[in-house]
Amino acid sequence: MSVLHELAQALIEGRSSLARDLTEKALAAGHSPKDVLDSGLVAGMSVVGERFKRNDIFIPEVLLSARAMRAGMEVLKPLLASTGATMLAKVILGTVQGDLHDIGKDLVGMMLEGAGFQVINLGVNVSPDSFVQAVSNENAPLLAMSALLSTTMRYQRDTLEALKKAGLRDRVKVLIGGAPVTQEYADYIGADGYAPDAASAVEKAKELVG
Amino acid sequence: MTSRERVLAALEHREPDRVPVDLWLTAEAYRNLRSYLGMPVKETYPPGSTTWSMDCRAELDLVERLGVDIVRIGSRPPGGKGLTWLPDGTCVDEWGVRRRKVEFKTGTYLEIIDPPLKDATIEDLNDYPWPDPHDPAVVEGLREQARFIRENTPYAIHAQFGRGGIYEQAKYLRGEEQLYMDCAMNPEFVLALHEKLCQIEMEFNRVGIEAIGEYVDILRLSPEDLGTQTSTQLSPRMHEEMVRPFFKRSFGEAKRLLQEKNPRGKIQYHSCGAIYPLMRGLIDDGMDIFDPLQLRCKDFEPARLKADFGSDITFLGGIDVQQTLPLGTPAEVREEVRVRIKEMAPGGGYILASSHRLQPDIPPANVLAMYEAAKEYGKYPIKL
Repeated sequence: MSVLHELAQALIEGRSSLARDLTEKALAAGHSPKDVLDSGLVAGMSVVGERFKRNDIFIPEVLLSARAMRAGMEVLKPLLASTGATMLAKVILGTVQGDLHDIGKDLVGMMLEGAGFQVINLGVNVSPDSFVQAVSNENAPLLAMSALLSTTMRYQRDTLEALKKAGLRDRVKVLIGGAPVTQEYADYIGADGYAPDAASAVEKAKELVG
Repeated sequence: MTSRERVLAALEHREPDRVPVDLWLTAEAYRNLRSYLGMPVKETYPPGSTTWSMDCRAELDLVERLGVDIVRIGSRPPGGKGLTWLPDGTCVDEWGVRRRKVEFKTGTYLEIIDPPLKDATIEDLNDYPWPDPHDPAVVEGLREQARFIRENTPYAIHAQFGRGGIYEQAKYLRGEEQLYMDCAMNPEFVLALHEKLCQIEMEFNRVGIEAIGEYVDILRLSPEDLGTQTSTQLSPRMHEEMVRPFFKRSFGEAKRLLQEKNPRGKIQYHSCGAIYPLMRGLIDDGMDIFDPLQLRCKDFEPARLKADFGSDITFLGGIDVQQTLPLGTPAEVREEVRVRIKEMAPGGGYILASSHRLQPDIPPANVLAMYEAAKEYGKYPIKL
């Protein structure tokens, strides 16, 4: 098995110290940082995402895989920056105002990162204005918003309004998700996309800005 | 037929005169509803199912006004004090879990910060200040209340004594993400914590049943959320190893003790989310009633659940709080009630209610439409 294949496997199995070692080993063997990212980490996380979507694995297993991915990324990140490797687009990510739930949102963040996106995670309870500011400051082409509660999903609409008001709506695609959110709701409030789970969020993100 | 006879018939899978209905709501939704109906509104209402959950139990005047068939009662926190508010605006419940207020458009929720057992070891569990089910405040006044309802009203009595549960309370004490990681990497800790919490849940139920068991038609165990919108939280294998053995003990013991006092008493269990793969195990372990029937979850189509499990258990809930009640029109709510009754009510085994607490974002007109439609379409025999 090639070292990159082994690295992908280490992610799938959620073995973080092995993932770090194999990332270093792959680099030492002459693979470029971008190659290690694409054929190792991204390849592994894509299998994790697919399995999660099919309910073959569940939240604990995905959290372990994400930890393994982060262990590899810590080694890779500075090298990717210094070699000027092109990553996928920047994504502003957050849970909307009034909502402190972060597990689903963070799973989406891990999957996006695992697919090669640059994720700027604003955390939870993020006001429409803070989303707008981040989109503007980072010049990000994609905004992904989560809401677990029917009572807070209304802030997804407010954020879209705030983007319009700031004159940014045409510059950024908006992806929404969270337990009560549906495609109909996304259409109703004028979001560009909806994803029911973390793996679908990656597909949708690629479709919108990939 | 009295409300109680209606509920008992449904629970025993006989068709009553009409589909029974239940009411579960947040205190804010409760105030909205009372004010919409022109009923007197108090500044505060005592907490309902748990100290922190922001729900409340409807008073008899509203139960009567809406034609609800069930009255909810239950234990109080040890010491009787509920939440302790700290100078920084956060509060602590009887488990030592700290929360802060988070405002949204139509209300406030309390959300956990800084879970108290996040760094704990198995040894630390011995020294933790656990809530005491034997504190006299827990069942103070409860017997008089239950007797009053039985002797003076037509309603079925629904009681919850547990104050947090096993797997659910473990998430609050440990932090949800940390508990998931523990399930994968530190299962001994999860088992030790669940063991402790199982003993406490069982003891609260024992104390409550001792106090009023003969009056209790429905005993609701502490809610334990096992699902997300699209799947179970844990793999079925992890659930079997780390959660189910404790549920089996807790369900079995609660049912045995309740039925010693009231042979017709039933056990209700709540889980949010898409938990189809776990339903058979919950039934085998003693669940009689499942709430809240979150129909938008994956593989949770009501008709399918009725076909697969309807002869074994009663479903309570099923009117959607994620879309239809908060965002729909009264006509859409009525249509959902009609469809749900058509799917779930034949043969009994169904109590209509919202698919979770009524939230403050739900227009009171939609709530009234739900109860009116339930009465109109719910007449047996169902001919929809």
